[in-house]
Amino acid sequence: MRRHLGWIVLLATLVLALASLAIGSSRIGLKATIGVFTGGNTSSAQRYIILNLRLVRIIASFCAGAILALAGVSYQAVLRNPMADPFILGVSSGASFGVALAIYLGLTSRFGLPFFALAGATGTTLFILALASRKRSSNTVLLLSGVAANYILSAAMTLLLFLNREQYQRILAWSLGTFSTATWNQVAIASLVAALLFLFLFGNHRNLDLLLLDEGSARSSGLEVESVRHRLLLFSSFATALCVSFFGVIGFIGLMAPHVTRLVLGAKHRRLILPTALTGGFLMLFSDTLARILIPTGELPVGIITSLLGVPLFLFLILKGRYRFG
Amino acid sequence: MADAIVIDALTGGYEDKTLFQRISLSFPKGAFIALAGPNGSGKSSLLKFLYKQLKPKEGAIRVEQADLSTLKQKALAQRIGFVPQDGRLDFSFTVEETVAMGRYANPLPDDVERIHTAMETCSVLELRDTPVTRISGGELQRTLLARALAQDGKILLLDEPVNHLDIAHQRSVMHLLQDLVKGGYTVVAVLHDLLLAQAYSSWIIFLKDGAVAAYGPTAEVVTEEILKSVYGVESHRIFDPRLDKELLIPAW
Repeated sequence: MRRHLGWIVLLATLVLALASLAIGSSRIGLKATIGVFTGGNTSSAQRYIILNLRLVRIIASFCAGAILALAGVSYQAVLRNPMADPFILGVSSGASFGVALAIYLGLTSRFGLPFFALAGATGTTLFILALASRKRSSNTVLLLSGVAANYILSAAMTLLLFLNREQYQRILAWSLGTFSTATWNQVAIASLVAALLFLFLFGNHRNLDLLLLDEGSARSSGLEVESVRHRLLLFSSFATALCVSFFGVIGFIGLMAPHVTRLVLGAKHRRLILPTALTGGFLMLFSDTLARILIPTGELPVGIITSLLGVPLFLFLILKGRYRFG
Repeated sequence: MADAIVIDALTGGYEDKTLFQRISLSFPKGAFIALAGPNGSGKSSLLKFLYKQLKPKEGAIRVEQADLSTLKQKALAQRIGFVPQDGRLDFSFTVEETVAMGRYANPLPDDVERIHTAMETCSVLELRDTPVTRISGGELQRTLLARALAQDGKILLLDEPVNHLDIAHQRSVMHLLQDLVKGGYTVVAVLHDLLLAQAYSSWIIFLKDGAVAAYGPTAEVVTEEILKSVYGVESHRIFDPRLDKELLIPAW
């Protein structure tokens, strides 16, 4: 199981992706779905639905899950905190505030929601990182700064919602996350970011291991703690910001996927990074598929599904046996 | 005897508090050096200067003749290993993975032979696949010591290495440190228990309020007067027939 987890998740993802292509509000079926890729007898409408509607969101959801899971691994190591997730330092509330502000000011027709989400998330990230780069700022200072940023930006967003109640649903729908508006351009960028984040973290696997030690041990083992922390935070935060700006705030995958893989593989990052990315991608794809098919007349925000599925699974994992973060 | 570490007129501390004012010390090579003193006297902080978590405002530190300010963290790691006071891990690496982290700064980080030798020396090889979250305090302390040994340095810094251990584990860790000294290591250990310091160390440094109250060979430095001036407690001598020497114990 330990050795083959990556392959098992990859195989499960491929099976799930095929099933996800075949099911949806338009009944296409497995045979016709396979036919689209093998040149079988299919209608142009079926080809359009499979290739332009379903495939794009399947790849988008997988890449988003992978990015959030990888960022979760990185945050948990950098902050030395098993409860850390990619949104803990305020990236999500920064993005949500950016979107709410843009809608309130009527600016969305010019640049689109992702632009303002990215601006809000990036602004928050830079603010928190500027705090982190102060001399001797501890993990606790960093976490509390993130909590403070989350509170103040959430309060500001709520105020904007209050002042602009007719746009409430639009902002809420965005903030709960969706892949229904994913485009091939977004998929190209998200897959590139997922690949780069994976390579970056894999190249830092020994650094990530050492960051989980107390600071004295990490430093005396040879780690340049500050510079490594800042590099990891910067890259992981920007990847998260980009993901949030495209697909909204989708919670729990970034917290859960690292714990699920650690449960099977232990804490060593060389073994952990690839299976975590695959697990995050799988969980997100599974959640998005459910979000598409659970309501016959529409779809649910994927963020609701990740939380509804994730919380019981997560509680089961941490309450089961002697699991202590690994 | 050459010195493993030399501290020359060190001034420094934390952002809001200067702890040390121009203190000078030398740590003899191949000695077992106890670092003692009341709580808050600066023992752990002094170790932080030695592994560069704290930087001097003034003065210099030399480790095996190299100026610490010019040494990169990795180069320092090949000279000095450190065992923290509380090395408990929340993330369950196995014992072998934990020891292997000590090879981070080494050109051969995955040298299994070196990792296993360090584990064998500390008697944790049989625990190699056990998560560190499931081993006892004594086993964890040995694992952390093995990690420091795997760094291949010849200087070991230990911050209260036997804190929270029962007397059997205290004895086994102290014997292990004594064996390492015989093998050529320089051991600097923060010790609160002055009986352990007298039984095992060859040199002792007493710190008080960020200043060096006394330092030198343990047998010469540990006197009733020093304990009275450093801790403010009276003490008296008892004879330990096994060690064949007199030990000073506090008057309870």
